[in-house]
Amino acid sequence: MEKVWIRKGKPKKVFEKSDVHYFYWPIELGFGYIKIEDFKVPTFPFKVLDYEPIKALKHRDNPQIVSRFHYRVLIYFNNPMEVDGRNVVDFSFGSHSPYVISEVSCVGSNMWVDGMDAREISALQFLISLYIGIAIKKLRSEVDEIQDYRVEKDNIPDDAIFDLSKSAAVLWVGLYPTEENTPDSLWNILGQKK
Amino acid sequence: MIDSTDTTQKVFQSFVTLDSLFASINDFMRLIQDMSIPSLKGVDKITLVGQWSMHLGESPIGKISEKLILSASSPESWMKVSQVSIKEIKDIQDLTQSLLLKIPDQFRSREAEYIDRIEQKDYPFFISEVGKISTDNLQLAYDTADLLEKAMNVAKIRESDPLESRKIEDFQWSLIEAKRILIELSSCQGEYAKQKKSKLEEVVQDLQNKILACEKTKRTLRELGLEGVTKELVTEKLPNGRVRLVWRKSG
Repeated sequence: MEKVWIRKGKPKKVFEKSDVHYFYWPIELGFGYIKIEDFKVPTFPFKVLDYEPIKALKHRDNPQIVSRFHYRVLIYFNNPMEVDGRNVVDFSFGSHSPYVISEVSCVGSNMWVDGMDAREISALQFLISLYIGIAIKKLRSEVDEIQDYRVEKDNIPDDAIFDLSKSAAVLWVGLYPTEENTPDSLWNILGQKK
Repeated sequence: MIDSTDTTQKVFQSFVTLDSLFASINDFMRLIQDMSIPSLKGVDKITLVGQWSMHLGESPIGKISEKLILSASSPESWMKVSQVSIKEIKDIQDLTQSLLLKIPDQFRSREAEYIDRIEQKDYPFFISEVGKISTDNLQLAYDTADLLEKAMNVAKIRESDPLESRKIEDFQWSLIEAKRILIELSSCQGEYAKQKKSKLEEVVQDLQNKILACEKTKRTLRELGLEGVTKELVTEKLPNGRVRLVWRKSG
C-alpha cells in the first residue's frame, strides 16, 4: 500500500499486512476520573493494544481512505486532500481516532443501531461530533507539519485484522456517498447498512 | 396474611421501645435509609413503612414493610407497650397522618426522578445506583434493579432520538439480566449461589462500564467544546433497526 503522511500522533510502530497499514500503540490513552457524588472514580485505559488500520483505495482515479474505530465502526473518507502526493492522517484526536485531512461538505453514518451496544453508539456519537467539529473548524486540522514512518512486516493479532464486513456502522466523511462516487465493495456495505 | 390496620397500630405503640426495635430490625432500617427520604428521622420512617404496608399492598416496598412489621412484633418490641398513653398514640397518629399524605408522591416520584435523570443523561448517578444491585441484600438489589429497569423502559419509549433510545434499551437489557440472576440467586445456596453472585457482579460491572463510556464521551465532548455540534444532524429511522445520520455543511 502507498504510504500516507502522519500529521500528529506518532505510533510506536507501523505494520503492513494485506495492503493495510496498522498504526500501533502499545496502550490506548484513557486515564482520568469521573466524579460520582463526592467521590472521584479513576478511569483506566480500556485497551492495552491499539491497532488503527488505514487502507488506501482508488475509485475512478480519486484516492479514498478507509479506517476503523472501536472495531465495528468503519470510517470512510471519500474526499481526502493530498499533500506532496500523499494523504494525511491525524491520530491526535480522542484516543488515536484516525482523521484523514479532507474537503468536507458532508458527514454521516449508516448504521445497524439494533446490533450496537451503548458503548459502540457512544463511540460513534463521539466520532461524528469530532468530525463535524473539525469540519466547522472548532478543532484545528491545518496541515502545518507532516511526518513519514517506517513500515515493518509482522503478524497482526486475529482480532485486530481489519475486516470491512464486521462493521455495524459506516461513518463517511467528505461527500454524500452515491453509487457513482463509491467503490463497489463499500457501496455494498453501505447498502447493507441502509 | 397479617391484618395491616391492627399491625400498623401496634407499630405506633412500639415507639416507646424504639431502642429494642432498632436492634431487632437493623437490616430493615438499612433498607429504609436506602429509600432515600433524607428529611425523615428513624421514628418517622417506621411510621411511614407501617403505612406503606396498607397502601402499597403487594408492591416490593409493601412486601419489605410487611417483613418490618413482622419483626416489630417480636416480644422485646412490646416490653413497654403498656406505658404508652392515649395522648402519645394520638400524637403519633397525627404525625402519621401528615406523613401519609406525602407517601404516594414519595413513591411515585422515585420512578419519575429516575426517568428525569435518564433524560438528563445523569450517568454518574446511575453508576452509583446500579452499584446497589451488587448488595448482599437481595430484596434491596431486586427492588433497585426493578425500579431502574421500569424507569428505563419509560424513558426509552419517550426518547425520540433512536441512538439514545437504543442506548437506554441496552442498559435495560442488562438490568433484566440482573433481575433474572437475582431471582435465581434467591432460591439457591452454596457453590451454585457463589457462581450466580459472581455472574451478577459481572453483569453489574459491565453495565457500569457501559454507563461510564457514555459519561466519558459526554465529558470529553464538553471539554473539547463540541457539545451540541450534532444539533444539525438529520436522523432518519430506516427499517430493520437501521438509522441514517446526515450532517451537511452550511454556506
